[in-house]
Amino acid sequence: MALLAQADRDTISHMFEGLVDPVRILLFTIPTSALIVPGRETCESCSDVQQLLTEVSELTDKVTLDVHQFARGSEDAQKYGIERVPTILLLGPEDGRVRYSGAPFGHEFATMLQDIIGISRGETKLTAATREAIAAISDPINIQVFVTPT
Amino acid sequence: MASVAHQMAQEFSQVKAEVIEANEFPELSRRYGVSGVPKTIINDRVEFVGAVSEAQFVAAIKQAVPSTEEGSAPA
Repeated sequence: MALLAQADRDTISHMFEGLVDPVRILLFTIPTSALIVPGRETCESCSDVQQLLTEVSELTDKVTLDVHQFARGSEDAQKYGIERVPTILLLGPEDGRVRYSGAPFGHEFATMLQDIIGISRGETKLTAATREAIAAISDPINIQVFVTPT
Repeated sequence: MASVAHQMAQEFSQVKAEVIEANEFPELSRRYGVSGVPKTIINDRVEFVGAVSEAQFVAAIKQAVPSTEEGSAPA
């Protein structure tokens, strides 16, 4: 069964009309299993997340989904610094600095759609003051935002 | 906060922003003492809970990096 209702698909398709450059979604995932085996990584939301992202990517030619099976310490995981699943990277020109860990459901789904559109259009809504302040900082800035789906 | 953080990461190569679903990663959430959301942590040094203005977010980032003290250039 589809996660997105037809009305949602219509709304998102309409939003995606403004896409310009391609955006690649990279999903690191593991198979969802009902069994908890000690020592084995579990991921309750992985299959739903993959389905949701598949449905989103089907709504436009501009968004593609690459699914990577996560293996801790693998070359792939190291390249992008992946430590947990599901982790979603939105890749435009910016190399995986925009990421979600866990299911982007609830309000975060809306945020993710806005992210995709912003990346594709090369636009953000940051204020001039913010731009100036961040541009003046050369040190790495690592931001983690903990959320819950609401 | 998630959206502003992601926009900063989109625009600036020195910024990386990860939005984490707290319930799915209880161990990580515990490690960072997440009891309310949104909880934002910058460079493991500065944190705040709840929604703040973009200007307050930037002020928190400045606190979290070693080199920026506005108006003071190296002698």
